[in-house]
Amino acid sequence: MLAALLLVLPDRYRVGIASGVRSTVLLPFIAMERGAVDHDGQFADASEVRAERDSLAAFLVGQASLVSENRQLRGLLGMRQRLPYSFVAAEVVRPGGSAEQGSFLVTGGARDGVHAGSPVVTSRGLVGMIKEVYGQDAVGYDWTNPNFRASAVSVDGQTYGIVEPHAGPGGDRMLALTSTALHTVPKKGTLIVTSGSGGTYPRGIPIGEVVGTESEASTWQRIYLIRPLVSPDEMSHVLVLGAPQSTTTVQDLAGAWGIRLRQGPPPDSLMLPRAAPAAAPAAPVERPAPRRTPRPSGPRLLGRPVIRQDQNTQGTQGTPQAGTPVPPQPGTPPDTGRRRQR
Amino acid sequence: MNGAHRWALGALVVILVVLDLVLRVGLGLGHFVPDLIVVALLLAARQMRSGWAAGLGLLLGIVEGAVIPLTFGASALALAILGFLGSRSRDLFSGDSPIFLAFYLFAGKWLYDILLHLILLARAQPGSPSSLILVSPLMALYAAAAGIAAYTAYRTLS
Repeated sequence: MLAALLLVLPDRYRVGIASGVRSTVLLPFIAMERGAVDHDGQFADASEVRAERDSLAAFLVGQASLVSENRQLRGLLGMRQRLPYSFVAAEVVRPGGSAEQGSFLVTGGARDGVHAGSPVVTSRGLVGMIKEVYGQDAVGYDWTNPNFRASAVSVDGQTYGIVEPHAGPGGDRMLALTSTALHTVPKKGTLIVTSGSGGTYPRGIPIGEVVGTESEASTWQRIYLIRPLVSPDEMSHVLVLGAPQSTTTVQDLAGAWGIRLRQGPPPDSLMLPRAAPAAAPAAPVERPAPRRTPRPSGPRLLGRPVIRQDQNTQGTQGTPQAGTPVPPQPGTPPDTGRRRQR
Repeated sequence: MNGAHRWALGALVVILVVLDLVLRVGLGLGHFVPDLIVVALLLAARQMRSGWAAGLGLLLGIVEGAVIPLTFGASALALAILGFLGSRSRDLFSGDSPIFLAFYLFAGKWLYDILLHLILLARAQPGSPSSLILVSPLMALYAAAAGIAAYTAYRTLS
């Protein structure tokens, strides 16, 4: 009876009980996990860390003048300060067991600035999102959870759809891009990123690559199999992005992963008239100013750069400000420290 | 069951549960660890009354559910039912041989996965049905092997 009662308890009571058990009985085990991760971090490759630190230092020195110029220009134009996208570096505890269902504990909670609904990413791409937040930790679920959904777009900006968990050939855990239109067919190997529609995930986070078509049976849509970039085994260190910021521009994080996301037609553009009405006066065509690719300036980078120089040409979102954290490039291990970065 | 056996059984349950939490949560080994909480419950339930076994299952389920809060309550109910059935199994099957014990642990662990799947299905949190056929039997075998090792050690020391 008591066990059945637990199932029908309101969420706030269940969360309270779980949080109470975690902060008492399970506290030593969770602390042990944090200690184990810190211990592993001490044995990280010091030369690699030093090279990245040198690169960052050199890069920041080169950016210092740009930041002040940017601030002055924004002030002259009357533009308000662009809000940075914050993140919290954290470790993931995956308890395993039959009831796991793609959920995990994150060693960062409300005290660290983690919010419910925050996207969780790694240096390779999207992991999932935070579901519940407590004081010192939080609970999230990854893309293997049956409830995972993300609005997505191919990197060429042509194919929009919804990404959801799907069993691939041989029972492999994969994703499926559903609700796609028939008139666009992404090639095999095309990168799929979050589209930003719906506001759950910012635009431009890599999800996976197209590996094939599920079936042609459906007459009005195709389903594409996606191989996720982040496997569950690679989700030990994650970045929890901050709460969605209310900015005037769309948050596009593609540049942080070294991706150039093309602007394709919006998903509902087929419903709009293509040609202007005949009675409408012809508007003068305004040609965009030719874009100049700035030459890389500043000191030569010593190690592997965390932010590439060509991101500075990708628009306002690609240019980081001083103190603005940027997720690391693919192949760069995320920071193992549990510090909040704003 | 005399006092010494009761204490030994209690110690076995505590050791298995702590070992499970250390390996799965503390060291983050996750799926590489057999489900020692289910093993502890199944071993203890054979020597407990039905009500007590169900209560132990509820307690262990709350601890396990706290680690995975999204399914909190489901594992408690599944373990309570499993504890009850494990205790009642004494009326149907008697025996202490390793082969019987291996089968009992294998069936118990698989039954737990099925119960959990059904409860989560009722809560609109369905898992993968294919894992019940492909993964669960392997994990049940793993749990049975670990349970036999634990029980052998228990019998040797008690």
